[in-house]
Amino acid sequence: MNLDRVIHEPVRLRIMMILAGVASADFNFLRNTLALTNGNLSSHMDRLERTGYVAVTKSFNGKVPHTSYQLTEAGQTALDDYWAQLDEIRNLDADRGQ
Amino acid sequence: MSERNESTDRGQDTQQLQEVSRLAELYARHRTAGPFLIWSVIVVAMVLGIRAVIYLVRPYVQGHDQAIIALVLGGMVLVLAVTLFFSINRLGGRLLQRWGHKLFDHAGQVRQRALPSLIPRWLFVLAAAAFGICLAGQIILGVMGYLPQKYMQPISAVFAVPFMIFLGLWRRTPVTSPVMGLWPVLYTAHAILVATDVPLFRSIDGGTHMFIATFGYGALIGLLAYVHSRLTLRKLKKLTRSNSTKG
Repeated sequence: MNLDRVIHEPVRLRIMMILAGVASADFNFLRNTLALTNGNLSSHMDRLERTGYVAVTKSFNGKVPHTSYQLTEAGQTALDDYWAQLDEIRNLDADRGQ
Repeated sequence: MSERNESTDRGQDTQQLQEVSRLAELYARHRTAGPFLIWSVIVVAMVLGIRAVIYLVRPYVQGHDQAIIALVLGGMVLVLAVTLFFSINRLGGRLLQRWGHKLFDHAGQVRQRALPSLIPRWLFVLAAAAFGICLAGQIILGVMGYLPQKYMQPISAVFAVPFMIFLGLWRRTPVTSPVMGLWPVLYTAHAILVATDVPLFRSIDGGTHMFIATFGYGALIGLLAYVHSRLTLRKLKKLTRSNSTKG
């Protein structure tokens, strides 16, 4: 059983869990909530966007650039599958433990 | 560590991570109270300011009642104009949204999920029309002296509270702060206390009761939602940061 490596990375998993609960979140919110540096968060968001799990919207608030992210349908499906796989693993562990 | 303990630990981590989505959603919902809080505070501050001015000015215009009356009427017109500006005017609404967002700017922006309303639009429109008719009726009957001023707030609760409930059911799109559900509860409790002639409330005039029940409790609930949003964000940060190194 191969867990999705894109989602399984701890920071990216938390990013996706936050996005799963809201319609969209901007770069500042994710950075402040997860206590990441700009570069660290950018690289994780790039990976998620390239995989198609996250959609990016770039705009301006006056002269200040603003970037917001939302979970795509593919991202939501991948996340649901990930949790289902984890549940299977946990059930296997429990059976072995018995 | 045994395999069973490892499995239990993974289960707890999973539960904590799934809590992240719930907290993020709750935080986004609480933020919707921002513009409402600003609006309530503006109205409360204005009314209290006008009352303070009247109180301070009264000794100097004793005997010249027309001056006080003009001041009071002018104040009421100002409060009504500001309330209408922020409630109906598009620019007023945009300003409220902008100021409401500024309360949360430090944390970044997040938007709550839109969920379908729990009631059809036509039902809400019907409820709003009924509310408007009842409100107009109460004002007219009150001015004509058919309704006792003292019991204006409890009388208004008969139609205002059901309308607040309909508003809550309709405004699930977008989803609002769950704290807003307290407003009809407080409004009803206040009405019962006035109607049963509780000693503390006897000395307060009917107009002040109406003001407290609408704008006063509105501001209080907006503030509660704001405080709740900060607590929720703190929990969310603790959860997402504490496990950031675990895989």
